[in-house]
Amino acid sequence: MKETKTLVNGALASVLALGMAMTAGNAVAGKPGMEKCTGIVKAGMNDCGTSKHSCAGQAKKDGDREEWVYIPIGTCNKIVGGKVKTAKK
Amino acid sequence: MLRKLQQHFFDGLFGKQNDSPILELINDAGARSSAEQLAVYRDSVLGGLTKALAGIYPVCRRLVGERFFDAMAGRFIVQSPSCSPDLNDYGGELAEFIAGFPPAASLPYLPDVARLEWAWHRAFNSADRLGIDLQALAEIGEARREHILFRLAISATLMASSYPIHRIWEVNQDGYQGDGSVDLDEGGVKLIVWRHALTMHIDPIEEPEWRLLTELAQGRPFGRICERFSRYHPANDIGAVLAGAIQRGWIASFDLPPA
Repeated sequence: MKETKTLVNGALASVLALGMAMTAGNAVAGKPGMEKCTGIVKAGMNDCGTSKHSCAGQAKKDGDREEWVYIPIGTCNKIVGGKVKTAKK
Repeated sequence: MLRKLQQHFFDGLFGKQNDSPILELINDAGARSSAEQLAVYRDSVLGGLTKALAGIYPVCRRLVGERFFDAMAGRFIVQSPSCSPDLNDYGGELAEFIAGFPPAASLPYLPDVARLEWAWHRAFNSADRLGIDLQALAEIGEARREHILFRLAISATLMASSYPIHRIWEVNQDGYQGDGSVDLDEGGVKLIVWRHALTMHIDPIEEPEWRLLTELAQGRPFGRICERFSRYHPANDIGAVLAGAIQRGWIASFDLPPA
């Protein structure tokens, strides 16, 4: 497999020749992605929820009473198009 | 005995509400019946898990609205109770649940948005891995190089969608400037979701990059990847793609199996 060795050595030479700083994440050519700093903790994960849900009868009880809310009414109304794609899933 | 008691309690929380054996075992407490007392725990557990899911899936919740999301979460929680003592492990099956949830069928992209948010959540909580050791890489002899196993950043998830889910995610972030519209006809996307130190990344990736990263994520040795890459992408230089992936931080380490 001489060709494989050629490919491998050529590819590694490209990496090593860059003499890159070890810090990953440096900007390189390519589509910019989306970045977001993480902060310290995510909301909602670090307490047990008892402050809002400690009383009987406050949370959802059974399915039947919820049927009327099973219609999405959020920002999904701004997502348009894509009719031809619905069959792909 | 304890196990049976716990099972009854679990059934009382997640099962039918009024005919649970646990009710027989709860003493009356003044004005509160045993069913009402149990309901306090049920609501606390469901409320806590609903809140956790809302924290993991803020974009999904925004897309469908709080009431829809919380009602859907209630159904999901009863069907998929937590199996881990760590709340951060809970909720990964929501995308599959949504895909089979008829009221959400009008939003075919929603399961993929949920997968993206789960990948984000896992990356957020993952371990760190330091940058690749290029010195050690340079010291590998030519004869052994084809056996190198490159590794993605521990936090990384690769995902492909038929929908522009990164755009949907972006316009539904707090503070997004713009009207928040997305046209699904923009088409699908391939993404790598990962974290570098304290910065989360959702990076769209091209076909050659996808080929390299998915092949190495499957644990293929580098020689084999080079062969396959040159077959699928003869016009692309795998050296440039590899160097770019390392420089971006997508590839964060490598292993060399013993000779």
